[in-house]
Amino acid sequence: MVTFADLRQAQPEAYRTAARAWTSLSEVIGTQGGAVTSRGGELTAAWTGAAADVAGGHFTVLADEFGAGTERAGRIPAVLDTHASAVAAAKATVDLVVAVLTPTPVRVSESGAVSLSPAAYAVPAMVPMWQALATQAQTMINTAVQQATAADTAATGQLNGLLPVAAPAAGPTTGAGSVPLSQIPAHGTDPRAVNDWWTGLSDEQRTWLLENHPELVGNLDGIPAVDRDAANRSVLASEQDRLESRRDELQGMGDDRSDDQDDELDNINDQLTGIAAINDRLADTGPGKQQPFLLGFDTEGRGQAIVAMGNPDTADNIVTYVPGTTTRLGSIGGDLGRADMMVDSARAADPSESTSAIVWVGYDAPQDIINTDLGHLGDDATSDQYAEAARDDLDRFQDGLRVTNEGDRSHNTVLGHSYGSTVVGYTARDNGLDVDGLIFVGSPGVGVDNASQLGIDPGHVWSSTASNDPIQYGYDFGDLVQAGIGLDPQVDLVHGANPSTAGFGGQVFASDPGDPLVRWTWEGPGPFNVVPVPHFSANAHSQYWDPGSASLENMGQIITGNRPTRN
Amino acid sequence: MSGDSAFFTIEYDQVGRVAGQLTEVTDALADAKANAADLQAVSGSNPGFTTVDAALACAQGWLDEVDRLSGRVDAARTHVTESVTTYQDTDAAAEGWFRTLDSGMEG
Repeated sequence: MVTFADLRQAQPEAYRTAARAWTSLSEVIGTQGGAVTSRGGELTAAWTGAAADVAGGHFTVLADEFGAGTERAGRIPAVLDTHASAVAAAKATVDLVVAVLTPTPVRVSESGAVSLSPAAYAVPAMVPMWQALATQAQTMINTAVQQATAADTAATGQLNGLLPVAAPAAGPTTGAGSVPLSQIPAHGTDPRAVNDWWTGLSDEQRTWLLENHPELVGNLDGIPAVDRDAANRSVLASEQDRLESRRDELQGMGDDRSDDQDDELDNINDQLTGIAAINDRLADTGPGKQQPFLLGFDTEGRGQAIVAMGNPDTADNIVTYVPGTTTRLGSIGGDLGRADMMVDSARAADPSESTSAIVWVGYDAPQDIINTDLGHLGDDATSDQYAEAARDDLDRFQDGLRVTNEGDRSHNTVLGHSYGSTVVGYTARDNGLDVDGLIFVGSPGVGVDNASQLGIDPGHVWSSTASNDPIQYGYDFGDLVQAGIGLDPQVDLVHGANPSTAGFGGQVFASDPGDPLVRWTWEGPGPFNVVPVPHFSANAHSQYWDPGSASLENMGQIITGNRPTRN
Repeated sequence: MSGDSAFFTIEYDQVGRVAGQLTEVTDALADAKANAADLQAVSGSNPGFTTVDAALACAQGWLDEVDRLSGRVDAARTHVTESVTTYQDTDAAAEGWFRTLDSGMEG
């Protein structure tokens, strides 16, 4: 624990100096990793055959090790800088308190205890004032010391989690149940290999890892849901503490915050909103509610999380729901509700079977439909870069579900909404998905012209678009006009053919129309309401999970392996 | 020069040059280590903060990791170089055998 004396002597700038050195080192590792990749390419261009294949593979592995090192070491500067800021703020508080008290008869001991000197009692009428000042000073000192201790604990944990996987962590790495960190599979490892490793550990070793390094195992596909849940709940709690501490620090800076710090504060507040929603759902285990499992959690960037309603390892049916544009950790609350709705719908469709519905915010989604910021043109939902970046993770997550599911083979579907359908389509097209069905709702295209290009039987490719959903008109004003005069929805959308049209070759299921796309009102001038004014609405794009809706009922049928029943 | 068969092809000079260029990687890593003293800038500062121990452990761990990566690159360089040499030696030996046969000294 940090003491008052420690805080008075603290040198936060030392952490910042180290942070700059870490940035340099991680950049060198990254640059040289790139060089290894280039050399490997040149090697295999000039050398073919069995030995060349093995040598080329070795260069690929080597480059991956450099890449992992860059990513891991590259996170250390932020930890140190954040810690430096927290320590600096706490130190500034205690220094200020000491400075303010120096000319007064209120004293601060070397241990931080505040008391009145004999001089304080010279004027009896002044004593209450000095006592109030002493009380306030003591509170400020105690709070600052506590904040420094919390920041110290959080940063220590984060640094231990960022050691190279081959190195031992500071702290208890030996003794009963300990596991060499070099044995922990890296992110991206095949789920079967992860599962073999995990099940090969003793109970004692698994417990040790969950208690000491939950951040290294919680996001590994192939580890059973119960264990991932335990690990990620622990990570969530420590990250919540860290974010709250940093939020308080930034808020305390007031107008002194830089623009970057304003952005950081906005992001922290957003992530804490998502964390609160997850905590609420994790705590909500009342009658009729599926037990939630936190299968993934990360606060990097805008944050990611994977939450299952019901244990996927024991479920008969599993649906993985991939939400679309604007998705992030902070927005997950609404998606958790949709997952609950899908479980209820599946139960209604087949009460004899159990269903787990998973919200998969395991990718960085576009945050804008159209980004008009000159510096970020194209960083929006019209780009396929987000879908391409998500493919491997979604594919591996599905493989992990197969590996850890117990008993008979479960009926697995993946459901993408809006840009989430693009993510699902790209993954199915390029990686192949080990699933029994695909469901698209409100899709802007799934990267193919025909359902047969998605790697599964087109008879199990399902899609629906509400008649009032503007997504089917792309981003073309002319299409909107055509829709307004009753022409068919556009077939070619921004990310491929419209999967909800007959020509796509999949199965189309019904949705309710949703709120009208255009509503007309008669308005001014003055008291004369003679001018027709259109009001556009995109509500229909988000009404697929409305209670009692045809789409929700049909989704429940498909998730349980049946055919839609509502037209 | 090149070697070629139904089973492999190899451009000796180019592969040899690739191997040589790997020393640039190990040199850069060695320079990075030499200039990484500030990784341990927290040493001796901030008594009472466990972050100092964690940061120093991190620094040592990553300096060791840089050594490990450098060693892996150097081992790859060695094996690629030896592969080229082996191919060339085999090629030269085979050429020698057949020249010997042609000269009528054997067989």
